[in-house]
Amino acid sequence: MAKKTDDSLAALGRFSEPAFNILVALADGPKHGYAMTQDIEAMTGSRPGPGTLYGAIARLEQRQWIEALPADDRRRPYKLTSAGQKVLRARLDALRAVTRIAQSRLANA
Amino acid sequence: MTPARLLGLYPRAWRDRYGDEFLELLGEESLSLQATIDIIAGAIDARLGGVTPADSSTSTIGTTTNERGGFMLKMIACESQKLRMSMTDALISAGIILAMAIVGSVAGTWLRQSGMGVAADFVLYMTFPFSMVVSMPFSFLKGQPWRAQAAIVGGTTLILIGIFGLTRLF
Repeated sequence: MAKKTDDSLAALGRFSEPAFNILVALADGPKHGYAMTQDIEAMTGSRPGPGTLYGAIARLEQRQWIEALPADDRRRPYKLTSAGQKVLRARLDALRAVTRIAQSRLANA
Repeated sequence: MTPARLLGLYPRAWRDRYGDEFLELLGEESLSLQATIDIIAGAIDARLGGVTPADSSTSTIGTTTNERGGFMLKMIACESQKLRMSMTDALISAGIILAMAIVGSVAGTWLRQSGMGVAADFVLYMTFPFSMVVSMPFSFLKGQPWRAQAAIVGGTTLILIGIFGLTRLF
């Protein structure tokens, strides 16, 4: 099950990484687009372009991994859905496994 | 180019759904050249292979596909009646795009591994838009005078090269 949802995130192609960053940004609560870019920049050191951000948002929303909340003026916050949480957990599990292997190999190098 | 003009590059359904919040985001951004290019790329993606919102009043999103090749075929086939294209033309056009994407990816990877970073960036960034341009005589430019085709393909190629050159300067 976890493998399947992680594959789905990978299936987003070049939007896979920005989509992952958005899921992480929304993990602690709803955020609108600008807050997401700020959060992602703080996490990764680089800010996603507006076109990339909304390309990823549209894909995540289409898969119902995030959900739009009522707009606050012109800003529309998004929240992580339970399906989105599963996808994020699956990706984090996969990354954790890779990290463990990499650290082990570096320790033995 | 102003944010409103950039938003105008996106499909109407996309603008209806995301336009307000997108402009709000751009309003707080200092639009760099890279951001502008990213927005233009996003508009191309939204028109060619991205998500198309079905209903602007809700978060429900309509039909999408991430299979870019399949979408291109479908799109070109839909346009074919208007442009008098045959299915063979559509297949050739899609084949050019797919083949160039594969060759460009391999070449770009090889260049990067060979230490030619700038050349690798050029090939990897330009492959997809350039493949679209090269396929145009078989799709959108089908039936147009060859001089017009040459001018549009050549001019667009020069613009793409110029944009890449500008990104290296900033």
